[in-house]
Amino acid sequence: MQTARQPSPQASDPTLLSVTDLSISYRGEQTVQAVRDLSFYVRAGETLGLVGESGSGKTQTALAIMGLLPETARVSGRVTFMVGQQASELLSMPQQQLNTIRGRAISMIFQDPMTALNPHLTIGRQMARVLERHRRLSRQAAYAEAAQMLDAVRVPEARARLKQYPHEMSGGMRQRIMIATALLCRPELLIADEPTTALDVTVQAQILNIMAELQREMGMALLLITHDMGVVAANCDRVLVMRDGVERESGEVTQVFSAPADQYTRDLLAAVPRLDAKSRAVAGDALGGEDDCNEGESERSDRTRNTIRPRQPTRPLLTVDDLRVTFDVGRERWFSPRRLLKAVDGVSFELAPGETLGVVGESGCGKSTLARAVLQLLDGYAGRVSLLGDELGHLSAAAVKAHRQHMQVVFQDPLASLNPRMTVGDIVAEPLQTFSPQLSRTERLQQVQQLLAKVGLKPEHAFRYPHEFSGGQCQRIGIARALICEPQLVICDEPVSALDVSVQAQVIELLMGLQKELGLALIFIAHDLAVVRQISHRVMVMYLGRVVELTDSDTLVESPQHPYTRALIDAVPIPDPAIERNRERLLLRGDIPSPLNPPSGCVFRTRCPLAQQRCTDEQPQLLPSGNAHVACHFPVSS
Amino acid sequence: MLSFAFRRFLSGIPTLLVLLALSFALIRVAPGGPFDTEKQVPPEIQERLNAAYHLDEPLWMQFGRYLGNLMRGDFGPSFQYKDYTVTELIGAGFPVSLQLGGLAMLLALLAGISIGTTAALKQNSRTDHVVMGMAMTGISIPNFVLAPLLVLLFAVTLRWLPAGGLGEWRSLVLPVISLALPQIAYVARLTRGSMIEVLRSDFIRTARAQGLPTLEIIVGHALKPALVPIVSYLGPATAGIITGSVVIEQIFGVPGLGRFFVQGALNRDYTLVMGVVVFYGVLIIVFNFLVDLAYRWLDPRVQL
Amino acid sequence: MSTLVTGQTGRSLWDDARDTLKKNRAAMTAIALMGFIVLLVLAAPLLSPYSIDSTDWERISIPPSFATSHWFGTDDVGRDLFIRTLYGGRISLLVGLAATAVSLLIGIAWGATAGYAGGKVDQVMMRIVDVLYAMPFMFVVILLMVFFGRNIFLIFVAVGAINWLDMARIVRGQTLSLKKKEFIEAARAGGVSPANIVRRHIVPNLLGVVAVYVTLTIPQVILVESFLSFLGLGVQEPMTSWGALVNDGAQVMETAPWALVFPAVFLALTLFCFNFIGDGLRDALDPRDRRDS
Repeated sequence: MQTARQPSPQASDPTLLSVTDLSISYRGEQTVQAVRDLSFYVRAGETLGLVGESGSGKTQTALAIMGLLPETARVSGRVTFMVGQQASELLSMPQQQLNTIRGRAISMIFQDPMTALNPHLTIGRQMARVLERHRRLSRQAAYAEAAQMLDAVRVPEARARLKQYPHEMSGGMRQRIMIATALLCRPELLIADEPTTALDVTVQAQILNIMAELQREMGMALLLITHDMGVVAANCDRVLVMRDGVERESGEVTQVFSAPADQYTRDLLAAVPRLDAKSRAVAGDALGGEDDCNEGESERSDRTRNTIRPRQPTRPLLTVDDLRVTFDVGRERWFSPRRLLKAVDGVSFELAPGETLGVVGESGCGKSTLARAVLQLLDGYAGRVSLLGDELGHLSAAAVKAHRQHMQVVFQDPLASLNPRMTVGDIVAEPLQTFSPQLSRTERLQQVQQLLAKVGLKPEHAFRYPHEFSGGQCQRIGIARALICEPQLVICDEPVSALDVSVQAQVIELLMGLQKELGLALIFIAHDLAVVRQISHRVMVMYLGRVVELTDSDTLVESPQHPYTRALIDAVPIPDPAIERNRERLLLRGDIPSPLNPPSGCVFRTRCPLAQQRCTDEQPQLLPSGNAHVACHFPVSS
Repeated sequence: MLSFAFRRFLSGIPTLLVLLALSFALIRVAPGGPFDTEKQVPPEIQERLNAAYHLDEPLWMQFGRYLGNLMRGDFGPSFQYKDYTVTELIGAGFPVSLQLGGLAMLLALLAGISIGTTAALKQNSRTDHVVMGMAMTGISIPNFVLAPLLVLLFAVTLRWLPAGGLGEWRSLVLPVISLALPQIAYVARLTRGSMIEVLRSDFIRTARAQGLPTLEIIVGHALKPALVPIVSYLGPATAGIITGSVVIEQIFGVPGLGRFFVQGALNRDYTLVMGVVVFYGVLIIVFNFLVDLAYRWLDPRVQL
Repeated sequence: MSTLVTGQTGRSLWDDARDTLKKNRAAMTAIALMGFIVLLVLAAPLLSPYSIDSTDWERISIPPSFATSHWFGTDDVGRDLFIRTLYGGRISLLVGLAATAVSLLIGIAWGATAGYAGGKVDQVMMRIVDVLYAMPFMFVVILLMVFFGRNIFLIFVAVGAINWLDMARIVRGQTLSLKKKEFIEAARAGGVSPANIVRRHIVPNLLGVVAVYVTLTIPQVILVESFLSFLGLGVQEPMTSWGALVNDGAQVMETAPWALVFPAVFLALTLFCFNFIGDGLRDALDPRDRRDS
C-alpha cells in the first residue's frame, strides 16, 4: 500500500522553462493554426499538467519545445530554458547546440511504447548510445549505467534485458525502458506525452508511481501531457487546460478542480465518468419508472422495472454456460507440443431482457473473445450459448442466421468498423437486406433515414461516406447499423474507448437513451471501470479468461471482494485532487502473465498480495458470497 | 538462430526437387531430339546413340540416373560440344558470369543505396526530383536497349572503351554498367521509399529527442530497418542479374554461362540446358537462404 | 411515416483518388502520351502506304525520309520501319495486356482463396507459391519457347504464369488484413453470406491495390516479351515486336542507327508511361499516404 504524492514544491522555486506567445501553424490549402499565443512556465521540481482533448495542440506544444516539429510547421514565440544560470532560447537554437540540451537536460517520453523504441536494436544498444553521446562513457560503463537505471524503474533482471529486443517485452515493460532511457542523463525537465494512455490501468498506476518516485529523487520537473483528468488530479501541482490550440484555464490543480473558472473546464470535468459516482443505469431505472408513470406509459414501465435485473425470476434473454474458447497458436518449434491459448475459460452468466451487463478487464482477459463467441463469429467454442431459449451451437447455419437479427454488435474502432467504399446508407441498410428482403430500396432508405435522425445524425448523411465523419459520428453510424433490425441484444465491444471524453459522454448518453426507449439488453465491454459502472446494472470482472467477480455495479465498486477487483478500482484515478491525494492504494506487482502459460490454481495468484499455498494448488470456483459471486479462496471483505 | 538456419535450409529441398522434376519433364516431352538432323540416320546408329546416352531406358530410370549423377557433381556430357562434359562447360562459363554479375550487384547496391538515401533526406527537393526521374528512366529502359546505345556512344563514337570481348578491366566497364543500371534504379527507388517511411517512424523521433546528431540517427537507427526491403529485393535482383547477363553476354560477346545457355537452347542441347537451369536454380536457392539469414539479422521480430 | 430525404452524394474514396491523380502532372502527362501511342498503334494501317512485309527493293537501309514516306527509314531488306514499329507495338501491348490478364485471373483467384480460407489451405497454397518463386523462371520460359516453338499464345501463358505469383501474394496479404477488419465482422454479425461479404466488402477494397499492381505488371510483361524477342525466341517473322526490332537494329547500329533508335524509343516511352501511371495510381490509391495529409 502506498500513498500517491508528496507536498508540492515551493512557489519560490526558480522558473526552469518558460514559453511565451507560442504559435504553431501549418500552411496548406487552408492554414491550420495548431497552437495560438500560448504562454506558460514550469518551475524546477514541479509537475505541470497540460490537458486537453485530441486536436487541442498539447502534443504540438511539447514537440515545439523539443525542436521536433516537422519542417512544414511555422513556429513563432519564445521558449526559454535555464541551462545552469543562463537562459537559452530553444526555438532559434541551431540543431547542433540543441542536441547538447535534448536528451540531456530535457528528455521526452512518448505515448506508444510499442513504436517509440527501435525494434531493430537491442535495449542495451539504444540506451548506451545516449550515454556514449552525452556523457562520453565507454561502451562497458554505459551498459553498467543502463542496467542501474533499469533497476531504478524496477525492470526485473536488468542485465539480461539489455540484450533483448523491444518486441520480446510487454507494453508496460517497454514504457519503463522508455522512462529509464529518458532519465539516463538525469534531466532537469521530463516531458511525458500521454505516457500511460496505451497501457492497462493497473500498469498505468505502477508507471505513474515510479515516475513520481524518481521525480522526487532526482528533483526534476515534469511536464505531463494527458487527456485524463484523473491522472492530472493524482499527479500534477498545476494544470493548464487547452482547447483548439488556445489556453482555456490554468492554475493550481486543487483550485481548478474545485472551482473551475472556464466553461470548457467545467464541461470537461462534468463529462468525465467518475468511478465514485453511483450507477446511472440503476438510478435511472428508479427515476425512469416514475417518469414513465407520469407520462402514463405504465405498460413499458412495468416491463422495464421488472426485467432490468433478475430480481424476480424471468426467462433470461441470453444464457451462457461454461463457455470455453481455445485458440491453437501452433508449435514453438518442430516436435514441441502445440500451444493452446485459453482465451475464455469457463464463463457462465445470464442476461435478462433490458438489462445491461458490464464486462471489465485488462487486455488479454478474453472479454472481446467472449463477445465474438456469443455473437457466433468464432469457428468453434465449447459450452452453451442460448438466445431466447434456443441453444445456438445446436442450430443449423440458417437458423443461426435467423437469430442474428436479435443480437447485434458495435465495435471499438469507429472508422475500421465501417466499409470505406460504401455509403452510410448502404452500410446501415445492409442487415435489412438480409433480414427484410421484401423491402424495396426506397423503403430501406426510409428506415435508415429515420434511424439516422434517432442516433443524432441527419437523414441526408445516408448519401455520404464514412471518412467524411468524425469518430463520434462514425460510432453513431455503427450504432444505427446495430439497431436497424430492432434487435433485443446489442453487444458493445469497447464502443467509447477510442473517443474523446466529451464525445464519449454523448455516445454513452445515446446508448442509455436508446436502451430505455427500445428495451434493449446490452453487454457493455470496456477496460474503463468508471464508464462500466455508470452504464451497467451488473458488472462482471474478468482476468485471464476467467470471471473473478460478478455483482451489482454499485456493490462491486463500493465493496469489492476479489483482490483483483480491489486493485482495479484502486488503479483508476479519480478526477478530484482532494480524494486522490489521500487514497490508500493496493498496487499490483508485475504484468499480466501470458495467457499461453497461465499460472496453476488461481490465475491471479502471481500478482495477488494475499496469495497462499492453497491458491497455487486449487482453482477457486465462482461462488455466491454476500451480494456477489466471487472466485477467490480469500475474499477481501464479505 | 541455428535451428532457424537449419529449417530454412531444409525448406529449400522441395523447391529443388520440383525444379529438377519440372525441367527434366519439360525436356523429355519436348519435340525434337538432339540428333534430329536433315540426314536420315540409319536406325541402328540411332539406337546405339540412344543407348549410349541412356535415352532407351524408362523415364523414371533416366531421372534416377540423372539425380545420382548430380549428387556426384556430374551433369553428363554435352550433346553439342561433344568433347566436353556439361560440368566442364559450366566450370568455364560461370567464373566469367560471376565476375560480371558480382561486380554489377555490388555497384547496384552501393550506388542504389546511397542515391536512395540522399533523395530521402532531401525529400521533394530539386535533387530528389532529378535523381528519381533518372531512376525512373533507368527502370524504363531495358538493358538490351541501353547496352547497344552505350556501345554506340562510348565505343563506336567516342572510342573510349572497347565494345566487347574479355581481357583487360576496361572491357568490363560497359557490360557491368549496362547490367547494373536498371538494378541501381530499382534499389535507389526502394531505398528512398523505405528510408522516408523509417524516418517518419516514432522511434526516429525518440532518437531525435535523445539529442543524437543526424548522421548517427541515419547510420545507427534508420539504416538497418530501411535495408529490410532491399534485402527482400536481393532475391529477385539476383535472378534479374542472372537473366540480364544472358543478354549482356550476347551483346558484348562475353563467353559466360548465359551465352552457353542460349546456344544450348537453340541447339536443343538437353544436358547443357538442364545443367545450367539446375545450376542456377541451386544458386538462387542458396542465395535466398542467405537472404533469409540476413533478413533475420536485420529484423529480430521475423519468425519463420 | 416520414418522407424520404434526398441529399447530395458524398465524396467516395474513388473521387478523392481521381482528384489526387489529376493533380499529379507526371502521371497525367504519361496517361496522355500513352493514349497517343495506343491510338498510333491502332491506326497504323491508315498512316502509311506500306505494309508490314512489303519490301522496297530500291530503298534498302535508307535513313528516315519524308520524300519516300519512309518516316523511320527502312531495314536491311527494305521494309518500312514506321509501319513495323507500330505493328510491333501492337504485339508488345497485346502481350502486355493479355499476359497481365492471365496473371490477374490466376493471382486473384489463388490469393483470395488462400487468404479467405486461411489455416491449412492457406499454408499449402502459399507454400506452392514459395516453391515456384525460387525457380529460375526466365530459363523455364526460354525452354518452353525452344521446345514448343515460338508461339505467341505460349508467350501469354508463360509470362502470365510467372507474374501471377506476385499478384497472388499481394491479394492474399490484402485479403488477410481485410478479413480481420471490424466491418467484415459486423457484416457477418449482420447475417451477410460469405459470397456477399467477398463481393460487397472484400473485392471493392482490393481493387485499388490490384489496379496499381496491374499498371506496374504490364510494363514488366512487355519487358519479358521484348527480352525473349531480343534473344530470337519471341514472335516469328513476318510479325515483329519492339524487342525483335531492337534486336535487328542492334545488329546494324553502326551503319543504320535509326533501325535501333525508333523502336527503342517507343519501347522505353511505353515502359516509362506505365511506370509513371503506376506510381501516380499508387500515390492516389494508397490509404497510408491519405492519412498523412
